[in-house]
Amino acid sequence: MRKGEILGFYGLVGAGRSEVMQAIAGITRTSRGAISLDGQAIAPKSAADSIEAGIVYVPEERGKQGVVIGLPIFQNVSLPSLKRTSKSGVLRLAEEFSLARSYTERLDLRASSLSQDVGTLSGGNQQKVVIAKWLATTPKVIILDEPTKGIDIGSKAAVHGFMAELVAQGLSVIMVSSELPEILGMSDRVVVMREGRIAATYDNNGLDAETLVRTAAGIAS
Amino acid sequence: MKSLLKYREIWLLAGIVLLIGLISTRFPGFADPANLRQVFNDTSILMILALGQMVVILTRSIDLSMASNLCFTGMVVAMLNAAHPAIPIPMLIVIALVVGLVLGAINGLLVWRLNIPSIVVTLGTLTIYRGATFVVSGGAWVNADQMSPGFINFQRAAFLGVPVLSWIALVVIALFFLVMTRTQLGRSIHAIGVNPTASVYAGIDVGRTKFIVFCMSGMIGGLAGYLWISRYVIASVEVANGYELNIIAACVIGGISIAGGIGSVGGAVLGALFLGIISNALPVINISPFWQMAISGSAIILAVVLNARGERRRGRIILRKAEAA
Repeated sequence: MRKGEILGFYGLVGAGRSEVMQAIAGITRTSRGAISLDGQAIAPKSAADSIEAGIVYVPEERGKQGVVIGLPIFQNVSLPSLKRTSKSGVLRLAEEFSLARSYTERLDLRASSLSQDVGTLSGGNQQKVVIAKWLATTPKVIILDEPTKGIDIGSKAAVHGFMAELVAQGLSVIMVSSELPEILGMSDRVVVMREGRIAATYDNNGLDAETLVRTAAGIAS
Repeated sequence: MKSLLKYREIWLLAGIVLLIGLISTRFPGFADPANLRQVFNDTSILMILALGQMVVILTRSIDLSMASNLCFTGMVVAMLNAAHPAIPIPMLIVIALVVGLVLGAINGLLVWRLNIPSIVVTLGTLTIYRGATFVVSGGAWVNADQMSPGFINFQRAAFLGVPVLSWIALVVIALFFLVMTRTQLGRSIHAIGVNPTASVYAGIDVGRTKFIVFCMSGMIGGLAGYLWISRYVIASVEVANGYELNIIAACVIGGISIAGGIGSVGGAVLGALFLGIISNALPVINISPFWQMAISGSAIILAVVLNARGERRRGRIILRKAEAA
């Protein structure tokens, strides 16, 4: 993938998109294949390794894998960045707050206070907390797995707008999505996966939905 | 969430005050500061044990072996003291902490590396550690006359008018409070209890964190081993038999959710105090030990019911907010 682009991953459910992303993010081990970043091979053994290397994965299931309901917003945002906001294991709450404040403001989070439990937020705002939490780690590559699944239109637009902003800042975004309009509207290039393999890679100019669906389903045109 | 926790602890505190008030009507001297200090001192060991158990329960695990660890470590330091009275007490305390740490680390390694549920691991080590006590002691007791005066009197010495045992409890409470609220470790313990999956995605090593909490509970078990033996001045295989249930009861009464993720240092301390007051006061006002058991049992169920209701209330708030948004 290239710096500063949005790479869309399209495929039918079960095509293995999330599995590939989890391997890149160090959550599961690769059985085959290599991962490289900036021309250097990396072999993340844990999510912490990937975060350190600058790759973060925003998982698909917000409730189960994303937010930690029961912890306040600022603690959710700082969770993967605790190494930076603490000094030899001791937390610095002021730093955590300022980190959380700067990222949630950029994402236009609607909350009365950062000490509020994330469980009290709407789905869209929870998703913003999750994205803020990953951006706060200052990644080079951010993988968004179904970033707009199950959130309201307003939040969807905010997430899309934000993705464009990220790319403008030189980040690379991998977006896994099953929504054709989203894939076609947002991506610079599209990778189509089928049965665990990459079936094709397209540049997104004049690409149409039919080609993608045919490739994903394995029907020759 | 925080205000809810506070809410829960305040209720427990109110319950304790009410209990003390009730007891005072039957036994006027009970609420005297001197007597309350005594109750605190008597409950110190249970308090520190409850704190050790709390960090384990917070990570959705449980340590059933704490009382056996206490028994084993207590026997080891008592035998050391009987054989070599010259070993200074602070040195013995360090030995107790290390022995306890090793026992805790065994639990932790089994949970971390072999992925065995903690309830199974510690059910096994509960028996093993008690059996090991029999092996090292040959079934013999260590009596008061075999222990050095320093061994027995260390915790009874008063510092600023308060016994050393109480000071140890206060220091342990302060340490746990700092660890839970001000360190990366405390935050990780909380997060993996609330949502282990999201914690893994956030780069927290869940297995390693569990290993660390078992090391903590092990060290606490070891420390409590020395304190227990020097307090009741007898070391035998039967020491603290079944006491793990009192420790867990203190945690549950203190509002620590057995499902993990919810609980605070204040809750664990108050839960232990509540049990301590019941076991201290009821015999004085001539209530039979069977009633004591019934009262502690009811307190446990009441605590679980109240906590469950607290959780439900939180659920409703989410719905209301979601509707409004």
